[in-house]
Amino acid sequence: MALTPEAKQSALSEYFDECYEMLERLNKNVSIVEKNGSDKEILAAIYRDMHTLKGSSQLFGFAKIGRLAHVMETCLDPIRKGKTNLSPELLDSIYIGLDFITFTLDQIKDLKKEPDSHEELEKIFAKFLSSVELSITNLKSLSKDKILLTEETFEYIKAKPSTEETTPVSVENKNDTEIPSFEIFDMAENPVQSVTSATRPVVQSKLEEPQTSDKKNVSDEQISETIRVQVNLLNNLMNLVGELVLIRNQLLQHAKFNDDDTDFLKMSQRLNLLTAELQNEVMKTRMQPIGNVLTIFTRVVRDISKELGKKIDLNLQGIETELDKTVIEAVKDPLMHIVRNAVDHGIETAEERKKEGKKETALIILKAYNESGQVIIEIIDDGRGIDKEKIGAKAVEKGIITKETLSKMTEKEVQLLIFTPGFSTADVVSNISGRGVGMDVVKTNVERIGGLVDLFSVPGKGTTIIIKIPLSLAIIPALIVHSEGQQFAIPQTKLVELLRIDNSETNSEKIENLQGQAVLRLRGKLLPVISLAQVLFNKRNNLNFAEDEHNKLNQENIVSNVVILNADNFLFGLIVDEINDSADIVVKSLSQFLKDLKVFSGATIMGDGTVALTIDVLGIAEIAKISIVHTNDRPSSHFQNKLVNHYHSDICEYLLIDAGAPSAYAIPLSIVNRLEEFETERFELSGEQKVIRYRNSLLPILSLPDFLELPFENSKTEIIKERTPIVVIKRGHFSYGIEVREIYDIIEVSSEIDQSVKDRPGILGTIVTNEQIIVIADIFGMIDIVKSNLESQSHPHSEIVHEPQIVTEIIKRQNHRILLVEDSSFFRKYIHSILLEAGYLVETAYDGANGLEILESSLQNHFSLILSDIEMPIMDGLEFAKHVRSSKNHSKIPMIAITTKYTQNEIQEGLSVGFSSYLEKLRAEKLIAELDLILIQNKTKEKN
Amino acid sequence: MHEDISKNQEVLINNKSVNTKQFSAFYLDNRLYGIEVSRVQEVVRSMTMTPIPLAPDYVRGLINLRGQVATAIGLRELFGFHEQLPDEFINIVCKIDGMLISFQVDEIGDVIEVSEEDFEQTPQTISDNIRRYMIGVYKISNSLLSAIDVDNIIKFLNHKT
Repeated sequence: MALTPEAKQSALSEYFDECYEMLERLNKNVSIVEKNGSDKEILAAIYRDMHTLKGSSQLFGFAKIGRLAHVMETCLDPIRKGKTNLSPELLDSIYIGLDFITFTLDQIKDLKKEPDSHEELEKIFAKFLSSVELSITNLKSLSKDKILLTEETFEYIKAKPSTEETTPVSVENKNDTEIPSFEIFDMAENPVQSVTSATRPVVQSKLEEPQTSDKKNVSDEQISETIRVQVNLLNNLMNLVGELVLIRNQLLQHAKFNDDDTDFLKMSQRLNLLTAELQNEVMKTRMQPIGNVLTIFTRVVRDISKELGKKIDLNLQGIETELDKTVIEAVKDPLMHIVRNAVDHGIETAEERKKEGKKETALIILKAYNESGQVIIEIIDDGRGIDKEKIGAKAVEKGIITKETLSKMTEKEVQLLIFTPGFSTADVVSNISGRGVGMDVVKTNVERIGGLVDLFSVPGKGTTIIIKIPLSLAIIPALIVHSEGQQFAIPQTKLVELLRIDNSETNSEKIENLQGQAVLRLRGKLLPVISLAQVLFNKRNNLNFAEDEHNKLNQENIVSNVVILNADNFLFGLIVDEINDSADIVVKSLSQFLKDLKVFSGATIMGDGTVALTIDVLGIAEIAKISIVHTNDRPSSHFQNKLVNHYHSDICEYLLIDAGAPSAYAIPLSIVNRLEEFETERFELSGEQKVIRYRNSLLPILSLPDFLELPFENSKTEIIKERTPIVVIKRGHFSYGIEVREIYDIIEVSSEIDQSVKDRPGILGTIVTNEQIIVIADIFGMIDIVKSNLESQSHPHSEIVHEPQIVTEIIKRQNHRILLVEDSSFFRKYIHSILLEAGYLVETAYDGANGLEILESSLQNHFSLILSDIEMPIMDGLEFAKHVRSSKNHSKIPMIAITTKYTQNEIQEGLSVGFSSYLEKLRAEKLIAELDLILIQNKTKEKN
Repeated sequence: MHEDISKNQEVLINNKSVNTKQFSAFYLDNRLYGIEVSRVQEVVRSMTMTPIPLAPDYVRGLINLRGQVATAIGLRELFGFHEQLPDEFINIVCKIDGMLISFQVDEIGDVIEVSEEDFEQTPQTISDNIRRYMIGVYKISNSLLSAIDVDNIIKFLNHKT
């Protein structure tokens, strides 16, 4: 058997591949058996693998692995034959044994020989021996048939150096003397022979016997549909395909300009299709199910939880989700870290959990799935969550932030501190998660491969960490944009949406000026906007937000192309000159000194042969100094939905204004339509009412400071300013301009509105945050009062409010339970409190789907009425109404739509799906009156 | 001037016994420089370039070099000869740390073989803008060749930005 060194080398590397593959399968199978009980097939598979492992290891002369596998095989035999059950002790020993083999294999790979002594190894080995002995003793008592075999095993173990069960040292000595380590690479003779000569002949003969007889079966089974290929080969293939894609792109470009040559066109089309297919298939060769990585966590969680005395179920979902091998490799360690962290820090001990009233067994869910060309991995635990106080205190102690900064931070911001470098929360550095590397490494590693990490945590309930990663690193889909005549590529993974904004039209999506900074109102959210030309070329040319009425006239028909991007979980708009196609690009890295520019992540060669730079979205945001503070915990739309799903967020946005008083005033952002700034001289008077010409009509201007009549200095005196900030509120068909002293900012607050302090009309209540008290202005209430003085306009919904007959009504109301479906936490809370105050019983849902769930699980007459918002994520009000109307038990339940703005058409649509009326949010009296009307009518009908 | 160099070369080639090095000669503002031949991958004429916004002026842009992306460095800008940039230039492409870097020069010269005996340290009087990139000077019969160390250039650029 004189093998050439090359042949030996290649045989050896095949041996390693095979062993690792088998170990992986063994680990998986053993954990299945542990979880689901003994399954004959799986046990047989375990036995088979163990046997093969033994055989091939001995063939190469790795005696330790061989012997160990042999012992395990012996132990498994009676179980496989159904003679006895798999005991937990034996399972433990198998796990330990597998560890030993893995460890030894790693060592062999590194040292090119079987390790002769290694502390770690000896420890595992000693552990294995003692546990095997334990399990074998059990076996013996269980099955008498097997006494012979077990004795044989015992003898085998015992025959080995002196006393294994005592100290590792003795094992070490023994190994040194009896089993010499082999320099496999220098060894010319048959390794098996050397093993035979080196080990005890008795043992060897025993081992060889099954090896020969079973070899045939093994080889039969190994004829399969797969072959092993070096990853290098696949890498080269991938690179070549990358080049091919580039040439294809160039060819297509060329074909575009030579469209009279039909043959050429046809061929290029064909080539295009083939290349795409080839690219797809080659990418697939490198794809692996993420389960390969996730399943090892079963083991990790099992071991750590045992060590820590915690009971944890690990639930793996979507293990078939496929990812590029390089991505899997890159994401493995970060995931491991997160899981260890969850087990170590996240999950409480069983006693703690009992005290908290939680299930004793904690749950960790690892969930992988595809979404828009990316893979999302969620790690969800139902542990103690991230404690704001604890994290905050730690961060201050470590000098990461100051106390002042901390006091200004939202809960989410504080929680995100765990991703800061130098942060480790464990009070005592444990050997499980506190190993000097923190979650910051997780974040940087994930970001390095173009991924994102986000986190949601509710103290006491649990933590969810979400990782978003690209499928592959080599060829990525990108959007090609133009700025100043130059092409740039933006990775699709960072892309949220594309907008074409026409500032001359009266649509609600516009680029506006907030304190000199461009902002975009997008579905009720303000997003910072920057121009690519400004960032890259220092040109301010296409930031055409409407400064005021006058400017806007000149800017008619100016259209901006805005790309909404997600940078590390905050959104911003990037204005570009032109949006072109999306294309698959092959990203080439840049020289180090160009990476330092931060704005580019790489370069690619376009179809026309030119080079285009790829934009580093995070870098651009950093360079443009986009305020992260205000937008930090505004998750991307995807994350936002998730947030709603997991924990019902209580965060609501307010526009912070100066109402002429020292305390902070705010208007709920959800009722704000636009922010404007007008030259003061342009205000006119219509009768006594201040108005301004605004978009072809008159905008009545109501001054909030004047209305509130706050007795503070300056509040009454007319301050002559050149420009007046106006908050435009739209209600029904009418817009109102609310004059304020100044518009400061948008804040996110999670506290409840306290309605106990409202000394005057125009104030809805107060919110108490960490630092200050914010007074919430009741703009709709103010409009109602002011409007009664306005003769010129008649409001379609200004019927006289039916005053409830308070005393009797309250008692009646208590018989009614109302289901309130509303996605905005502000309105949900606000209306909830109004209804409660009036005496109604209320249950709330955060969207249509949730509402439906609650409804379906309740009895027929549990709810007397449904109040539902129209605009909601996941399932909107109309859809919800349709479902309710078609349901068996609840089709008759009265439904009222509550909304901020509606047109006649919308009312029609609402009525057609089953709403009985439309009401404005924030008009408490009207709401209660309408409810009384419907519910009392209903009652009378029932009596009849 | 070219003829002179080729004459020098002949002389040097006849003198094989001494320790020699080969330099790819090039000109900036009619001054003679050289990059060690072993470092040069290829020499190409002007090509379309994609400028890199925000990059320093000596980073002229990116070039598509048969499917590979090369970064073009204008040696004139780097050395501080800003006046009258020529319309045409030559790319000397080198592979440094696995990245393709194209040094753009006014004109390319011949390959010059120099003897180590003719080597001198860069005089202290030379402007630091250039001296920091130089290995030293080779005395050629009727000219001086400033030997440029491409690794030094990249090291400096990486350090600087």
